[in-house]
Amino acid sequence: MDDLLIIGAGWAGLSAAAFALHLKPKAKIRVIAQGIGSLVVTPGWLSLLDSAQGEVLAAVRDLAARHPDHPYALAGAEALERAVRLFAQIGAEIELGYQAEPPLYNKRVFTALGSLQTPAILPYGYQGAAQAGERPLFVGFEGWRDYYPSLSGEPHVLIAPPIGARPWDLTPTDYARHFDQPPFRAEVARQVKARLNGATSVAFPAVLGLEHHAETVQSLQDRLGVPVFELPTLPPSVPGARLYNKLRRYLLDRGVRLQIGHPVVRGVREGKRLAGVEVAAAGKPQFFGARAVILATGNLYGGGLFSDDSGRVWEGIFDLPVQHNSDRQTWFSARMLAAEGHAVHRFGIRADAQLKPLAAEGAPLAENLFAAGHILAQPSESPSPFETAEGVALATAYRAAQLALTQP
Amino acid sequence: MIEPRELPYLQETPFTADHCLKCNICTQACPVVPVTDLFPGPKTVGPQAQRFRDPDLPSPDQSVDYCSGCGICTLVCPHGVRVMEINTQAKAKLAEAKGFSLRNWILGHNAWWGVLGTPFAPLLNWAFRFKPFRWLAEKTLGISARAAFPTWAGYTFRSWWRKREKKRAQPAEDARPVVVYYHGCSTNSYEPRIGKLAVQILEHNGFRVIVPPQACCGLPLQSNGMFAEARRFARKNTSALADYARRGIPIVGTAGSCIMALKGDYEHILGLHDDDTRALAGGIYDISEFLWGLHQQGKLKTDFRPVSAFPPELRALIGDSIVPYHAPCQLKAHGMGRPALDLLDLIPELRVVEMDADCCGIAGTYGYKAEKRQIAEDVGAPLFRRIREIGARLAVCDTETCRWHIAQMSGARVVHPVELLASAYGITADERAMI
Amino acid sequence: MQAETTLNCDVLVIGGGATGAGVLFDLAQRGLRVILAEQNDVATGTSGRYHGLLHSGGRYAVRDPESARECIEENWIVRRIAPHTIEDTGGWFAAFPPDDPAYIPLWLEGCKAVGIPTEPVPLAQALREEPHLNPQAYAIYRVPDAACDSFELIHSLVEAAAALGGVTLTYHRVCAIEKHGGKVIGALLQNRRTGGYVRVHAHAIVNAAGPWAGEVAKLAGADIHMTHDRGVMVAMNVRWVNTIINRLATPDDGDILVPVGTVCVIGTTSVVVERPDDLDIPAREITQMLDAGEVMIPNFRKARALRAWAGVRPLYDPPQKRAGEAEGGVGEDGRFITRSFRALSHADVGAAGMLSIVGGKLTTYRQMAEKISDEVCAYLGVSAPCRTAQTPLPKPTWLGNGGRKLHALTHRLHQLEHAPTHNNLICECEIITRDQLETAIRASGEGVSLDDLRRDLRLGMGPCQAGFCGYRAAGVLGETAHLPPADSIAALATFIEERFRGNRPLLWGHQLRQALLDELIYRRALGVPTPQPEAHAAD
Ligand SMILES: Cc1cc2nc3c(=O)[nH]c(=O)nc-3n(C[C@H](O)[C@H](O)[C@H](O)COP(=O)(O)OP(=O)(O)OC[C@H]3O[C@@H](n4cnc5c(N)ncnc54)[C@H](O)[C@@H]3O)c2cc1C
Ligand code: SF4
Ligand code: SF4
Ligand code: SF4
Repeated sequence: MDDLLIIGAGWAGLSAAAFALHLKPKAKIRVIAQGIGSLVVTPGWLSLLDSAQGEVLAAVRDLAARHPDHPYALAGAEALERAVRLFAQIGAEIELGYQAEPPLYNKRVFTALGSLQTPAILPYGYQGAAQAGERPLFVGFEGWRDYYPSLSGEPHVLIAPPIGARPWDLTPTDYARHFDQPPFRAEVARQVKARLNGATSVAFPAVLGLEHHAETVQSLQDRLGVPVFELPTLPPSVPGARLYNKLRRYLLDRGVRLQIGHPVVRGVREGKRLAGVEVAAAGKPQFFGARAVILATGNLYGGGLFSDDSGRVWEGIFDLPVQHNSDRQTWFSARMLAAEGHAVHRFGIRADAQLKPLAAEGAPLAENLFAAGHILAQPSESPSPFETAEGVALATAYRAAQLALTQP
Repeated sequence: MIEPRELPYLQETPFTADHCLKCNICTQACPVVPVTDLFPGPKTVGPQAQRFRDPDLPSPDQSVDYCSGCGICTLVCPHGVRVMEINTQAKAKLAEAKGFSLRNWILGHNAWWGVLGTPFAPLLNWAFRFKPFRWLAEKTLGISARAAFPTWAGYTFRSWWRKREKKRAQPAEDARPVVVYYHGCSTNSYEPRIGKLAVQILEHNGFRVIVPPQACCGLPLQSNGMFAEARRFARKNTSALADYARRGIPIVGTAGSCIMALKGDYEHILGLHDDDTRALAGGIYDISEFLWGLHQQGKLKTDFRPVSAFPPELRALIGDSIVPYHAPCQLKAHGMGRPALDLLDLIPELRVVEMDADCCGIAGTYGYKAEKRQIAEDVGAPLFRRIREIGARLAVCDTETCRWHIAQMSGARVVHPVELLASAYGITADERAMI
Repeated sequence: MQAETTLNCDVLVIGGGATGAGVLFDLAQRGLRVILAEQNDVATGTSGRYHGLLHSGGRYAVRDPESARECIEENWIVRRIAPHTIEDTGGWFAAFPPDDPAYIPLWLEGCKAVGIPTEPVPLAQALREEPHLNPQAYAIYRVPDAACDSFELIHSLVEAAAALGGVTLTYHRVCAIEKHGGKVIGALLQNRRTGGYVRVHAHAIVNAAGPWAGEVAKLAGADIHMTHDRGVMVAMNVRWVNTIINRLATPDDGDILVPVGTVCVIGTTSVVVERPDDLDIPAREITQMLDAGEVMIPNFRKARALRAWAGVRPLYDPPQKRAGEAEGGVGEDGRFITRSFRALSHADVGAAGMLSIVGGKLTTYRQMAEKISDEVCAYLGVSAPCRTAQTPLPKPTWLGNGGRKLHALTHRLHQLEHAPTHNNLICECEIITRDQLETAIRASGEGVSLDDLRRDLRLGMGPCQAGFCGYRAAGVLGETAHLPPADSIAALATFIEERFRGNRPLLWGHQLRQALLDELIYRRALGVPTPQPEAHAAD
């Protein structure tokens, strides 16, 4: 029997596991997920509240006060700060950056289309873009389908890195593996340096190393003599993959069981508690017993929630009631990129102040079941869930891990 | 029980391509992509190409052949696409269109070679270590000269078992619960010691072990595209063993990938959807899975002695290092967690750590093919490097070809979990001894 | 209004659908100087939004024998003259439990009367050929239906005409028709990309504007009453069948399933609407299609619905009905109006030389073109006979490689795998390379939109709905056409919204997940600018 069983391996699930290790180093922890979660498709930075103008943690406290049913509010006032501090501590250990010393202010990062995003916590790769007023040079790779520097802005160049004659397209991860090799970096730096032309920083697509990211960024900066930074790419997101790989090693080395590949399909009850969960494994279902369970399976994208053409929306494991509109025509705004977002973003399960998911009667489904991340519903007038994506995942993961490990 | 969720729809392998969101998570995780230019990755050859495959025409794409079948893509896909299974089916159609390959036929039939070679063990063992012979095999057949071949034990597990059964007086009244042991070909011909240990561990825990007739799981045939023959093997197993499963008699095996074939591949790759197949799939266990299940019910004997009381040779190999554990891809595909790791954690003084590598590279017969050998070595490189960095001289892994490959490439001795469990129970088996 | 350019010709054809393109080619082949004006790209009207079926005529055999006969006659001809546009899937008429068995003898008799060959298919064999078919089917007949790529057909016609001097002006809308002395003498065209005007002097005008025929006739002062019958179709991401399946019953909603490339398309609904451009897709009509699909393929609904689109049938509602035709009003089922066609002259309103061709099917485009061309020639005193039934059409060449599209499911994959390098795959779902994209961008000239490229190449039509290829295509467009970044980004933003509009009615299950992933890419990774709300009114 495990002390803690976490369902889901996205931002919320994996950080819940890491936080639990810190809260109780001897705990037996297991993560079960159908596939790898959101890390490998998100840009790898931490959005806590992208629209916050002043200190971010204060703005989040403010948000929580205004929306008592927001996941930030359910997680409690202290959760986010503790979570990001701990995350930064781990980030340093795994050599990816992610400094988060309060007071925190949103940073400016560029996208491949030259737009600005304003997340709060950055891995090394995005940090070079933080200064305003830079004149960056946007660098792309000749013949690469996944980045077009001409869409980022002026000045821009296409260089020809030494990749040989690859018969198939390279993915961002392929380039990142090349950048792990010092001779490759040196050649890239040589080509860029020749065309630097007074630029005060250099932007690359986010492929600067997979296993040796910090070293890659540092060595390029040393060679070019100006800050170097990354622009997020189409998935797979290398910054996300770096974090996933390093977190995986971090968790396995500390004895966490990481089971990616088979979905949890139901909970097994014992009175008012969950005795454990059942996994749809090869041949027969497998039962895993646990003292506490964290549900971190994500929203309609992540796989925690399902929908069909009749307008039904359901939670996949415990059949928890889902807060949603029943008229399918209202799920999405008329335009994909509508400023107001879409109603579906906020669909989710409801939980009490202990992050215990609520069953149909409004009482917690089980005393030892907790929810974290984007499976939680968000109130309709609150900021877009994209703005708080990682913040909500981390804060609720921290709180859920804390409650799960201390419950009787 | 809480309301079950609806299982993913369209369970049939080819149709799972419909779920693909193109997210590239599989591409980023595939271990073959980073080490060769010839393979565009699981998304491309799997769900994407599948849209353009006509069930009635030969598949037009060759690149899928570089898929090793490790199955990591299927595991990491968050949306239920059976990528590896799609690839394996496409490879079979490709093989069919290409016609007969002597090399693949030989690799596919290792079950026969195991048994046929047993009487000639000394000669064969010598030949397989003889460089010019291996060179010739590579040049003429395309079987890599660098790949690690097992050694024939010179007797089979089954012959040992028969002798042992004959010698032992059968008590008239035996109230012990029964388990069926499924040994697989490798244990039978190359590593009977693993079978001997497994039998004794089960007996130590109060079971009566039986070893009914059984066939090769057919996995090597399946991964070499010989589906029709693989299905014949599958049918032999399902008809020989399904009945035990129905009677609630567990079938327990020590070859992690063979068991996965029986648990899942028969249905999802070979497309067998009959009752026997399902019954067997539900009734067969990996030995660690079975023992850990016992432990959870409080029925496992835990009279484990600490590492310091292990046989000296093993104790020396462990030293004061942590012991790396590689969960083979095929074992991850079971979806049963890491029961071997959980069991080994019960042994005092033993510190086993799971490696973060996905695949050791060998992928069954893949790494035995000359044109894929380099890929197999490069895929496993991070694992081998990590084992060397740790300085471990002993590692653990549940499937045989992976063990041989890791041992060859990392220099560590690689054992099956039952070998450590047996030592902890004080059970021994002499590799060479027939009795 | 001052025209910037003036062009002269014998005949102006209005409308770049199958009918207009057919007329263009027919008249060009008879030696006339012809200009075709199309307000958008060719094949963007009903012809680009149809169900994809080269009818055998079986569907009309009982209630509309005239149309059935036209279909089977033309079916044989189109197979002969444009085989490259056809995937010869064959078709079945299958009766399922809800269908009335009494219909079967009527149908067989009807087919026989007009010469549609039918052959019974035993159920066991049917299930072997189509394992997903509802095994409760109780009668199945094979007919010579086929899938036809209208896009390719129209491009073939336009190219064949061009070789004979026929000119096609895309993005040119006819905004006025000029008459003099009881005759038409020409028309004023607006270039929708530049805003400029073109004056075309013509001796005769053919109105082949499909569902817009009423609007165009009005420009000449004529009044023809069209019924706008909107049909919704849904493409499923699984090619459930390799044969076209028709319900063997009185024509109704969602009773035909057509395999097209990697998908299969169920259709259609039939709702009479006010305007020819009312292409709304109500959720209820989608549900109706999925329900209907399940009658033929029990697992139908479980696949992802990939695209839904609507087309408006240009049905002609003559003042005097023929036998069997019913009155149709808005909101009614338009299925009772004949699918046969009519050629109308507008000499009665002082527009001699203006002829409208209305009604019909895509299958019968050639016969419609022949009939109206005969009348045009009679009016102009030209005696050249029609030769289109004997003249094979060329494969469109403008994208190189001996034709753009290939009509076996496996061809794109085959082509990719056997190319010396397989990289620069821009749209992975539909297998479109950078080369193809660049060629299409160059061929299309200035102002080409990503949506134009989508129609040319199927860009962004796969399951990911441009989530991955949208950005790439915008990049290639920017680099190839040397656009300022803001223009490429605007093109991307527009494309995203166009794809979303077609996809929005289908967002549940996996396709909804797909949309959320796409949104994540656009909003977070790329930061595509949010559209201005007022831009909505413009499209
Ligand atoms: C839902 C549906 C399914 C169908 N399925 C089938 C089928 O499976 N098989 C079959 O054979 N038939 C089918 N049909 C019928 C077939 O699609 C039409 O009959 C045929 O495409 C009509 O072609 P067209 O050229 O006459 O009209 P269109 O293709 O609509 O062409 C008219 C063109 O005129 C242009 N235009 C309009 N006004 C102007 C102007 N002022 N200036 C310049 N250009 C102008 C428009 O932009 C348009 O491109 C279907 C129709 C619908 C609606
Ligand atoms: S198969 Fe799965 S992991 Fe791979 S791209 Fe498709 S959805 Fe993503
Ligand atoms: S099975 Fe293994 S090698 Fe094959 S595509 Fe999947 S991950 Fe790659
Ligand atoms: S491992 Fe399985 S496939 Fe391989 S030889 Fe043994 S039984 Fe046969």
